[in-house]
Amino acid sequence: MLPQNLKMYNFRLALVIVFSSVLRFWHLGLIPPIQAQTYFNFRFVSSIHNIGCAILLYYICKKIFKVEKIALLSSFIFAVLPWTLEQGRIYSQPQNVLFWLLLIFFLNIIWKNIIIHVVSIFIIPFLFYLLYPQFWILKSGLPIIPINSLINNIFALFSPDFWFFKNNTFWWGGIRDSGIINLAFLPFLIIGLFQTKIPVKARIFTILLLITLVSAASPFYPESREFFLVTPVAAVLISFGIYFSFNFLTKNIYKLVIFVFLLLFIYDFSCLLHLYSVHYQQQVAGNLSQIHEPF
Amino acid sequence: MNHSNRTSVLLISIVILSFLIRIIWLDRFPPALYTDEMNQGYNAYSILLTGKDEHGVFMPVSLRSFGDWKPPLPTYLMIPFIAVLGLNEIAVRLPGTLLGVGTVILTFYLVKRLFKEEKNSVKIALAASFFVAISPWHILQSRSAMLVEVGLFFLEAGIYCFIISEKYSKLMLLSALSFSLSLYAYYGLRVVTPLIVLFLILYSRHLVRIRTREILFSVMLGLIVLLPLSISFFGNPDVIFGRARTVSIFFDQGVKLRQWELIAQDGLNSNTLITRFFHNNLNMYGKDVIQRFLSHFDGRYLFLNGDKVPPFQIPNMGILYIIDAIFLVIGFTALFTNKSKYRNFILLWLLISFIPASFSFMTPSSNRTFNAIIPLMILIAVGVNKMLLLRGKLLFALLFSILYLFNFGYFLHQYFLILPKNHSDWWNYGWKETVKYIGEVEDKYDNIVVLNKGDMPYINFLFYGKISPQLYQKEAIRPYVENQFGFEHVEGFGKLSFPNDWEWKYTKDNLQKHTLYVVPSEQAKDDSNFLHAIYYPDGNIKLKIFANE
Repeated sequence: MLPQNLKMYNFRLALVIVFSSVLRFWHLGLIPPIQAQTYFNFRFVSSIHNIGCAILLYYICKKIFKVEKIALLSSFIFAVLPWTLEQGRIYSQPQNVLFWLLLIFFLNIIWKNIIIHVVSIFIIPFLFYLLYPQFWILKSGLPIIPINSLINNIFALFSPDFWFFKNNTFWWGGIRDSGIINLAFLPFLIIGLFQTKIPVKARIFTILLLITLVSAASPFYPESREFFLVTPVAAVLISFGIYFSFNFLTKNIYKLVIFVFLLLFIYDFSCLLHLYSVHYQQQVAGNLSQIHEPF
Repeated sequence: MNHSNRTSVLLISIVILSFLIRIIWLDRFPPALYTDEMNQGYNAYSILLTGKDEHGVFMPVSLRSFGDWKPPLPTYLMIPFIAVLGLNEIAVRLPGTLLGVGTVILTFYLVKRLFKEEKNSVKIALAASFFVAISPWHILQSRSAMLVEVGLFFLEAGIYCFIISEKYSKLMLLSALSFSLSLYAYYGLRVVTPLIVLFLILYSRHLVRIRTREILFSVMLGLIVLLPLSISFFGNPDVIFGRARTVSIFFDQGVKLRQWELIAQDGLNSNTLITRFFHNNLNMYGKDVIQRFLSHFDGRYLFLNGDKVPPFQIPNMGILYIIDAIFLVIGFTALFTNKSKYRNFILLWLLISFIPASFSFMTPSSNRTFNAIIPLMILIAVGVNKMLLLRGKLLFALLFSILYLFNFGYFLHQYFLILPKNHSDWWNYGWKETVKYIGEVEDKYDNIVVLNKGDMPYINFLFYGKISPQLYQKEAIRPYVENQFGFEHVEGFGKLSFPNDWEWKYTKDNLQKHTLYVVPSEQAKDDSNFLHAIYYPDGNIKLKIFANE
């Protein structure tokens, strides 16, 4: 028999998976429009990987932070982020590789074994080679981008515009009127950033820095899909922020503010679904003739 | 040298440095007076000689100017300088420059007071003052007469006097006076100052109890100072809101057009309630305001490109040094974890500074958010101080000093060499030369026609020609009709006329006799009847002057 508490969390995780699946599979072959039905399988595989990421994120957070609520929240937030929703409904190589990276990370956490660590380091380049042939280092070699462009790209990737208002990576699924995360999550992201402990913060910054540098150095910028790999980090930080807000900001005024932001999230998310299902598909349909690969 | 002496020497050095950077070649850099600077200068000249502004209004509490209703304080501050130095670039810019140096000094005392519980309060204060002194954003504004520097000085003075009034109660009156004057200096502060005062009162609730009498007197003084503004407001609301209406996001059609596009995409069959639920004004404008607010935190704006709107731009530079980015992040983190009493006040000041600009359609804006410079410099100073607490601080200090020196050198190069040479058009360069040339030949002609669509060329002739204000007030032809940006055109005065909608390609075949035509070079490609050209420093032609004898 599972303990009552564990049962409850498994049930909630199941709910997150069901919610995530509905968001990914509903009209998957229609929205966004697809060039040929033969490409549907590619799309389906990415959706499965995307849902898998949410599940893996739950177990990774549970293992690292040992707090079920943070794990559950991270998984849920990953499922509802605009960018993960978009990438989970198109054929997305970074999405696929993210799943395997998370899996390797998870295995490294549960088996703290030097052999596993070493093998993982060697496997990662192969993963990229097999699952992400569009990765610009594999495609174009080492960076030749000028330093001022690199700095400009780094700032652009961290700009509020890109994060909350306008994902300009159109060819890779960006919605014109939506950023990579929901605007209502902004306060929780800030709280999460400041409330994580220093060692966790250091690791998070290292991961962010690495992904950002790789994305910013891409000769294909702004179509640098590599930055998608930061989405689990963003989900964890937001969930930290929400967890902290609920548990430590106990004054009534804070509770009211948190409640308002959660209501805003619900509205924001419903707007996202509308933009995605009505406007984004028109945007893609208008450019379908220019898309020459699985999308 | 003891600690106090060392601090004094360092502060005096910072003040001398800031003064020198701001005063040297004040008339030549920026390369010309911008139209707004000229307008204020001429109105100060007009008030000095006649007691009235260019529109003939006696001692105005808001200057109608080009129809944009400028706050009056910067103009009034120019009057003594114009009386002594005459109507020229230095007299116009000097008040802002001196107040800019005053801001550097005030920053030291303010920061020292804000961090008085910290061990390193003096170091943080010196660093903040130093960073204001060498800030490209602050230097650019201090070397031009663009209202905001005057506003910043009085706002900071108000804050400092308020905080220090805990100890010296009489300074509460000075605080009220400074806050009230700041409202006469810049429109944006009519939103920022009341919010800052509100937060200061909330922060110092104990002061309300122990200084009730002083607070009452201060409120009365503030109200008396603001009385002329309030009375004028009832006669004309533009006196308070000025250009805010025409630069607001509600005046601009951008959001409206996107809203219509989205509604049209929803289709005729969509439910009206659903369309309203998703594409309503509150959602569209709300997001737009937040987007504009957050755009001020974009690293590309802060450290790489700066303000895109001339003349608030330094070529290929942000409003801060790129090296500031590191200390800004450290300072922000350090301040967040700091327990200092005024921690939240500094962060609130920073956030409040961006509110007025967030409702305008030209964002990010360095001009409208200028008072954010103080909290930003404080954050950088806190960051530097935090770094100096680390091990190996000497090595860090040396490394970052070299980097700052390099950044500062780059700024000097861009500001003193590149800006005047390659971007003098941002500052309306060429009008002084034009007015001088026309002054030499005007006796030969009956009329002078200046074609300059959308601009306000009349002010160049008033300012550089030192036209008698009495004469201008009598002869000016101005219909007081707003254009689409809210500006009111002047048709002409004396021999001069400024037809708003004439184009050279239509005018050139039907020239009046004994008339001189001043034409923007982009309109005049041919050279028949060509008399003279006015050149930019980079060799391109700004204006062509044609004559029909």
